[in-house]
Amino acid sequence: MSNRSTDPSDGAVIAVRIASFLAILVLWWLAALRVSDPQTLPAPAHVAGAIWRELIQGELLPHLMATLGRVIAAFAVAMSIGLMLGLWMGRSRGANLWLDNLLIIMLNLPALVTIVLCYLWLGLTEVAAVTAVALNKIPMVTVMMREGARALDPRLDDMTRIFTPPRRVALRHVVLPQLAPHLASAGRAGLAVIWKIVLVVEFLGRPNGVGFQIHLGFQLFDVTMVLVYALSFVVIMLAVEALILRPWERHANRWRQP
Amino acid sequence: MIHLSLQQKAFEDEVVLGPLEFKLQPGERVAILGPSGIGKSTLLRIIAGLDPRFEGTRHLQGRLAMVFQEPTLLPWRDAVQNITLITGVGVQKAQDVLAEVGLAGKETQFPGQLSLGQQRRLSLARALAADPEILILDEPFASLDEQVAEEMMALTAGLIKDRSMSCLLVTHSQREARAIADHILRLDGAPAQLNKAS
Repeated sequence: MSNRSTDPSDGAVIAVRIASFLAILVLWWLAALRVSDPQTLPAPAHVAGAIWRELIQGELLPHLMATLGRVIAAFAVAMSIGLMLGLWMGRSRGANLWLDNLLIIMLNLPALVTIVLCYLWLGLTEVAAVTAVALNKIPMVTVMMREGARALDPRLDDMTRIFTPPRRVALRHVVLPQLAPHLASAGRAGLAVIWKIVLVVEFLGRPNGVGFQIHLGFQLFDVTMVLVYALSFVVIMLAVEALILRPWERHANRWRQP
Repeated sequence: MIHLSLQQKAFEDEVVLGPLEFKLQPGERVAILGPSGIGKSTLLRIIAGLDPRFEGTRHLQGRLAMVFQEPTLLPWRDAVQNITLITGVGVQKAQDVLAEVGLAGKETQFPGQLSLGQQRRLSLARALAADPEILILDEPFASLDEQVAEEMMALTAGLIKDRSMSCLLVTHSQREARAIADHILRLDGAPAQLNKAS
């Protein structure tokens, strides 16, 4: 049973978050001290300095933007197609019967197979890269949306059948708000998965982006460069979560406030 | 006008309704009375066109609106949007009809911020805004305390008479049936059939 009076305050939550982040930095710093070889494990300050240099020299931002562009494109494609497929499969027993096997196959297909096949079939192109990432994410979004569609309130279905608002209005104002928690979960899980797959796609077949730079770092055995690009992009994804996903979720859920 | 000629309605092998005939003429106000579990909601869903799985025929002429047993509102949209988005009327008409049901000043409230009685008024306002020729009411005063139910009954009866629309009320309360309807039918038996109330 929850008890609001014992919930920690916002200030305490922020303090704990900062303390846990600092603890990770201290652990990293201690490990770097113990290893005492910057080529194997550079200290946090060393990596921070390298990030600053890459930023000043103008190398970091173009690669981050290239990766971010691919993440956004693949995310948009995967969420749109996954939402439509999930809704269809959740609402239509026939569609679910026809598509369920394909969905299970796609869910279990290793990301690497999809990526390699897309590059082989479509060439080492931007379309192949985004398609490969989206194909890896669509099945997961579809499953989450199918569950959401199955949980839609039948009383609201009855209401729309009686008053017959236009389909577009019913979808936007009756169906999608009910799916908002599922959309938020799929979006959050999706973003985390997508950017990791984008790095693999870039690693294997793109001439720019964070994954490409990590590939370069791997070839030169440059651990600092790998950490510079990986951590920079983590910061961007955390910013997307804090500045876009969470505010959207708050806006979508404002009707729940007393 | 609604005309239902029902041979039977069955769930799996169990016949729960029929045979029965039901007619609702223009301007007529009919109540169907019956105890809980007799099949009132099943019959209402067939009459409203929400359940097409029955043996028989159903003819409907005219625009239909319904006040459900639960208010069945969009909790994520405010009172005015609950009317405009669903019925397609403008904001002014939504505000007028909200005032008619006694919800003036509540236009920007979300359903969760309204009491159950106010939510039922909003549900009634939405149905009236659709400008129906036939209004179906499914136990619209259930779960309200006595005083609020009395107010709602008087309000609903007045609004229906003002608009001279056809009305079908389904209820277990004779008092509600008398307040709203000209004719009262009773649903009873197994399988349930419609009879004139004594």
